[in-house]
Amino acid sequence: MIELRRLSKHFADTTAVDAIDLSIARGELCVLVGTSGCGKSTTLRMINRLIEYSEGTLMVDGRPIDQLDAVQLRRRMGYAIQSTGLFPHWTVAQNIGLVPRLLKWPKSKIAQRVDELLNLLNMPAREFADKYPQQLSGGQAQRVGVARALAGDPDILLMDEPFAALDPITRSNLQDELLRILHQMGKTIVFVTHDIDEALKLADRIVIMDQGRIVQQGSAHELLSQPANEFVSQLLGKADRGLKQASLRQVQERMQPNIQGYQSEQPSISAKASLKQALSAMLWHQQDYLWVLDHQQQPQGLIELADIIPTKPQHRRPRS
Amino acid sequence: MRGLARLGPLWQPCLLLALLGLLVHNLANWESLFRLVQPDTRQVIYSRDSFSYLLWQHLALVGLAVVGSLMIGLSAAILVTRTRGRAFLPLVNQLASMGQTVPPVAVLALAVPVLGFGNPATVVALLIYGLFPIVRNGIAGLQGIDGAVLESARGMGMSAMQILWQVELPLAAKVILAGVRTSTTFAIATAAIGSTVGARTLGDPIISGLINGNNAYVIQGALLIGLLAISLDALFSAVDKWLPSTH
Ligand SMILES: Nc1ncnc2c1ncn2[C@@H]1O[C@H](COP(=O)(O)OP(=O)(O)O)[C@@H](O)[C@H]1O
Ligand SMILES: [Mg+2]
Repeated sequence: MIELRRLSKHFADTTAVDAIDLSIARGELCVLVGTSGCGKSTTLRMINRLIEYSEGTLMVDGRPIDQLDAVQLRRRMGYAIQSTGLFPHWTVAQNIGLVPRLLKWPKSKIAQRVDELLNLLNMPAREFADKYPQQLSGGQAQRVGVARALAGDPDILLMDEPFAALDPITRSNLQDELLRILHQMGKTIVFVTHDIDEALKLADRIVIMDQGRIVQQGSAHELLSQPANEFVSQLLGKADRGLKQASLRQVQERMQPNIQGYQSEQPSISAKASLKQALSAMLWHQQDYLWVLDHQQQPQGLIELADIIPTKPQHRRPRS
Repeated sequence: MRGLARLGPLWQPCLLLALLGLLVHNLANWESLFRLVQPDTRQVIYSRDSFSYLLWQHLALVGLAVVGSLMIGLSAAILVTRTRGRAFLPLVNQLASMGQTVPPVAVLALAVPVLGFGNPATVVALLIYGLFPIVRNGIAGLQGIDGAVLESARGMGMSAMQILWQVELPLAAKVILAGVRTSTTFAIATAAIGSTVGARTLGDPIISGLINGNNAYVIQGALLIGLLAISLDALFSAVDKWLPSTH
């Protein structure tokens, strides 16, 4: 869907993006991650032509991007940024309705779309539609920013550190909501962040950038199990690597379907919880097994420490 | 309901303008009052032209000049804040700041040799002098807009024209208005001096009074000019409050 081939961007005295190759499939959530100044934003902004590239080719839907009209192209791509950039002189409803207005949708359809998006993002339309951006909290403003990016029903969504300025709890909630919405909509998303945990949580594919180049790309699991070099393993947070990996797996993947001897007062955990949460619960209860419950609190099985760490004989600590 | 509440601040300028209208139409009837100031003179009410004629004349000169300054000044401010005109930004900014240090009378004196005595020279002088605050505030207003707002306007797919009309000008409106307000205040005062170069304005009674030693005339002119300036300023203040805040 989006194809970057040997794409570069030179500013006066810096090469911000250095001959990168990247292809993003339809419906994929691709996260660009790397330290500040490594060229993530520049890459993103070349896709909607806020920045014109210097060399290479960039294709969207199989068509070279410079053959498309920049303004029309941007209306087909949602764009959300860290500082939201909401229009302070427009209400929330007017802000969200911008792209549909530009696309000349009928008024009633725009109003309906605005309501639908506000409700989708857990902001009751009746309460928020007529507020001005200054009257919103940081998290609410960011939701409106995301709603505005989604409003024109674009195939592609570009997001530049949209949650970076939020407190950890709000950020985590918005990440969850984004994942929920995206699963409903099946959009192609390019998401920029400097936060590796955010990348691990959201991405179908993580693209790690450094100094304008792509260092490694792959699923969270691939990156954690085989970091290409020292830089990548640093970025992944060497010491926490095991826990990070455990947070990608769910309890139900490793549990034993055995509920013999189940007692409801004994420690338990949800089948959808991560292995990291299971480990934490075992540490907390000082117990090497937990009962696994489904969403109706019915016992499903059992998970033991050995299920999480299925050590091969040669890796066992030698005893004398 | 909300609309009415917003109109609230308009009461003040309306009251002042009503007072101005009252004075303009009744000043001529208050002969006995002005006789106190000027007991020994035969005529104490300026009567070469009616006050209402002079007021409209004064307003027309100021109005023409300020509308002209706004159109030219704002266009200039817009041009030098586009990518293509950015090269001229420092020059225009400097000219606008320097221009404001020239006394308005000097601009008037310079206009006369070119355009002769009368109304046109005065309008042109007011217009040129009025440009400076409008250009300066126009540039400041357009440059003061949050970069993220402009970036997302572009990123959403607004055209350059749509961004200018729907985003930049509304967001700069308060600052631009402040420039127009300054221009108008200057124009009202300077138009009075236009009487010395043959324009017909509320300055006429003042000049005539000064020449003939008739303080009653001076007071009549000064009273009306002062009230006009205060009324229009109050009007601008009301419009400013009515514009949505955009911090
Ligand atoms: N408009 C610009 N002019 C000059 N240099 C720029 C511009 N935008 C970005 N750069 C430079 O390009 C590099 C990459 O920037 P950016 O893509 O914003 O990084 P990131 O988003 O990863 O933090 C940086 O060195 C930055 O200074
Ligand atoms: Mg960036």
